[in-house]
Amino acid sequence: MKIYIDLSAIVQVDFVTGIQRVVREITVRMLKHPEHEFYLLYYSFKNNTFLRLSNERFLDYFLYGKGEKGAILTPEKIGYRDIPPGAVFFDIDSIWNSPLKRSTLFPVLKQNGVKIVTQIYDLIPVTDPQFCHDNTCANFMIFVGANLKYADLIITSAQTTVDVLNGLTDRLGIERKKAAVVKLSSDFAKKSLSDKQVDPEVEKIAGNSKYILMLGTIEPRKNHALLIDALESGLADCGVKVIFAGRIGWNVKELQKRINTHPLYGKKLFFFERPDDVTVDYLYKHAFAVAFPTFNEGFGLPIIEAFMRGTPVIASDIPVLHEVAGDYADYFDPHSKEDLIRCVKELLNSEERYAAKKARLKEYVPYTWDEAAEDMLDAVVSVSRNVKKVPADLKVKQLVCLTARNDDMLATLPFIEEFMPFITEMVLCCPDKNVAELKERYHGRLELKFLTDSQILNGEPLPEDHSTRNLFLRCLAMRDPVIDDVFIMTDDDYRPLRTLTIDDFIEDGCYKAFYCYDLNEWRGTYGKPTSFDISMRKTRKFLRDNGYPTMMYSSHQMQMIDKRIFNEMTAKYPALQTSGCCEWSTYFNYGLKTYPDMFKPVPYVTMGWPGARSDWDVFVQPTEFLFENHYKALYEEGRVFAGTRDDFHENVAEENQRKIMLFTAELQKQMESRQVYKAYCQSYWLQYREMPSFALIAGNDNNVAMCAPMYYQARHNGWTCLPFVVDRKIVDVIGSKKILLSHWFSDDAGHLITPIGRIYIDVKDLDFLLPVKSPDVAERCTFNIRILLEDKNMAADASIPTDIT
Amino acid sequence: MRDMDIYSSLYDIVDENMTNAGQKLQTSKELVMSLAASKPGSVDILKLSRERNNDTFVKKAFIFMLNRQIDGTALRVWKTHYKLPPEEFQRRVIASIKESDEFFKNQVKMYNNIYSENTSFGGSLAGIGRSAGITVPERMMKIYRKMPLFMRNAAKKVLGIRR
Repeated sequence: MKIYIDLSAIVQVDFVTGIQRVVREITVRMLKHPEHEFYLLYYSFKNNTFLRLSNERFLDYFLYGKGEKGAILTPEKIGYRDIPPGAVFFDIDSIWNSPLKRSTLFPVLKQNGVKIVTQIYDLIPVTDPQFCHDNTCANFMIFVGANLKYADLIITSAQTTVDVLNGLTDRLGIERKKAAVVKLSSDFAKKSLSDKQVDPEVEKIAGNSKYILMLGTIEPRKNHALLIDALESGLADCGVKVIFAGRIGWNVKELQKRINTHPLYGKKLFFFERPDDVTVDYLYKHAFAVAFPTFNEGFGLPIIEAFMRGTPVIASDIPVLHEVAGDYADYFDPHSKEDLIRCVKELLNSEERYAAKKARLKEYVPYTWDEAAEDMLDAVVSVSRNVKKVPADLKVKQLVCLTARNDDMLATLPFIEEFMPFITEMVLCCPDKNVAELKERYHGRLELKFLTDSQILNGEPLPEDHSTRNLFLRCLAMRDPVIDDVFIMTDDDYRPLRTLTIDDFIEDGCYKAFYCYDLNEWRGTYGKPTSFDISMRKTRKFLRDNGYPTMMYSSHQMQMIDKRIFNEMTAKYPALQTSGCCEWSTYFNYGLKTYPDMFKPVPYVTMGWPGARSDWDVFVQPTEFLFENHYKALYEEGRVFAGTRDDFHENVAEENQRKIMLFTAELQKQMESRQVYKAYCQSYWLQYREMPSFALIAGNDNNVAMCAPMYYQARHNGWTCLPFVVDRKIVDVIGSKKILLSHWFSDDAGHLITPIGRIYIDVKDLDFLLPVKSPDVAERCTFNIRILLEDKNMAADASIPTDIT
Repeated sequence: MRDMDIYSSLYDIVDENMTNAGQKLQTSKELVMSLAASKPGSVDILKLSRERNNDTFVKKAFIFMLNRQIDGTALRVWKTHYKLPPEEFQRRVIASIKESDEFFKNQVKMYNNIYSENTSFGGSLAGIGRSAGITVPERMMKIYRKMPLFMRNAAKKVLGIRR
């Protein structure tokens, strides 16, 4: 299994206590499992990507204390969209303050079919926010919220935390998360203890005297003040000292002042800041008792650390500490100094009792880091255990196609016959009038079965809108027994390009889900949204509203469908069938969320989608082509497939290879244009610290202006999709509904060197990509944009010096 | 439940717990929502400029431009400018963050900077991008960055800067 671990926090901080110690101890042990591939990650904000850490150097530094921390980082970039389906993303580090918010990361990971496992140490910033910095609270809310929504498994170190988590989900009215409890250990840094010396000052003060030790970060939640109160109220007279040891934390200025100026400071009260491991070990071993008066805790490592050294513990009477310390510890009310004094006195005043306590601790069997790491790994891996997979012996023989065009269907059938030998049956959902002709004209090997409109609709009216009709008909057809449980869904113009097998649709026990876009990024056809674009927007809303991933699976290619899952979805959302949403994207996103182990998102493999470079900006670049989305227009003179045949003939396999080369070259041109644009943006940013932007903006006086870059660069004879924004105020406040955008290139003399592109801006879509065709030859020229608010008699324009490369 | 609804409900719970403890959350729900929605690496100034409250604006600007919450020192400084009209306040905040090393180091992509000095404006809207708010050193730095390398080196020599 591939396991990705974001260790950005531990790599950055210069101390190893608490969570950092857990991260270190667990990670170094996990890395010893060769059966799994571990990818240790560091998030680089500058590149907005993960950088890989070297596993070997991580071990060297964190296990053997060799090498430099900075050397752990490698230049290998791992984008968060690169984490493959089926992998596990494991959050064990304290990453809630990371600039890469889990609210951003997790939806992307889930879209890609990645499992998410998170160690949640405690929920204190939620349950007791008064003990945390405000920024931590805000970041933690997002961290916990994202996990409640997206995590497949939450690991905690105590059942108490699971109970709190369940209380939280119940209160939010959402499903409880799958949780596992993995206890923590404490056999820290054994190897490094032998060759170091105890701090002599500590030895002088702590040696041969009774002291109560309180170890841990100095912060309000730990309740150090209670021990000082107790000292002032009689504890000092009992013959014990109090020693605080730890790192200075947040919001403790007052406490620090109280300690430093206390009359007992240096006599009965001591503070050692950031003691090293060997000194900590010494302090634990020689303490009369360890006090742990915390108000709230996720686990309480110091308790275990004290037990392991045979030192009695007195601890706050709170559920999590009872769970961790059981009857080995004595308990007191963390709000009562009297109760704390009582607890200490009970140990002080009875040597027998104290000796019994110490003797009992000899029976204490510590949980080791080895065990903790094994259990943690077992929990992480469990998310992919006993999961529902597609049966290995699944047989698929059926294609199901929605068609109203007999010629197109008949032209496509020979390709299916030739390249899909495992398909023996074709279910055609078509108008009644088409059946006779199809039967008459088709004489191939496929058995044709028909589901006519009258059979499917059963009297219900057929929606007029193309996209609404498609989903409606498919929903109804899917209920008919003529359609197999698992089949391949297609359209009459999706043609296979080479011999396909069932393995082209199923991989690793999962249905492949071929995506072509992220619906959140889809802008569609500029200016005049098509029925398809509107359907994509509706789908995006449906998916977002119902908490599903939002990838676009309308990849204009054949895809395998499990009818039972499709019908389950439409039964759950009855309104979907007339919603006008996209059947492919709703189904696959539903499937991916509901049966994550049965679906594997993979990039689409369609040639001819998009049909033309100007249609839309490619989001995913296909690495191979298995299907052609057949557009007759692409075979016309001047288009990409000019000079090739689009009918089936005996050399079609070779011709398909040629077409793939032509289409790849066309796609390459788009990629080159994009590269030039990317380089231009980068260079512009370096020069001005901002991106080149095109915007129509409104001022306070309700006048308008074009905001444009100082210069522009583009590849010759290329299409570039320029991000363009229209200030919402222009529609909402100025009230313009008819905004005409014109653009053209001109030479030094002002003569046009490209045709004028004109488009009316869709007032419902003011943030769009403007496809701009650059001049055919490389030269210096001017890119002109003019915007006219026709209904308000206002205009704005920009002339931008341009370099065509 | 939608993502933002979860964050919103969680905020309410934390806020209630804070109130029960006799304290008050300093971060508003709106800011937490902004933080949750912030995408690392890019910021749209046109969208950001719709915020008309100066206090909220500067807090949001830090989140979107630096991907972190504003620190106490910066907040104290900006509080002294709260009386400025929103346009002027926003212009100063954007210019200041944009000139910071932190912004440069993080390479956040800034889009639609309507307050930019480096944007070509055309049309009937006057003065939105080019007025005050940039300090003299900032202007000098701008000029410096546009210089060819040999001129930059010469400038360094004149000013006695070794690195």
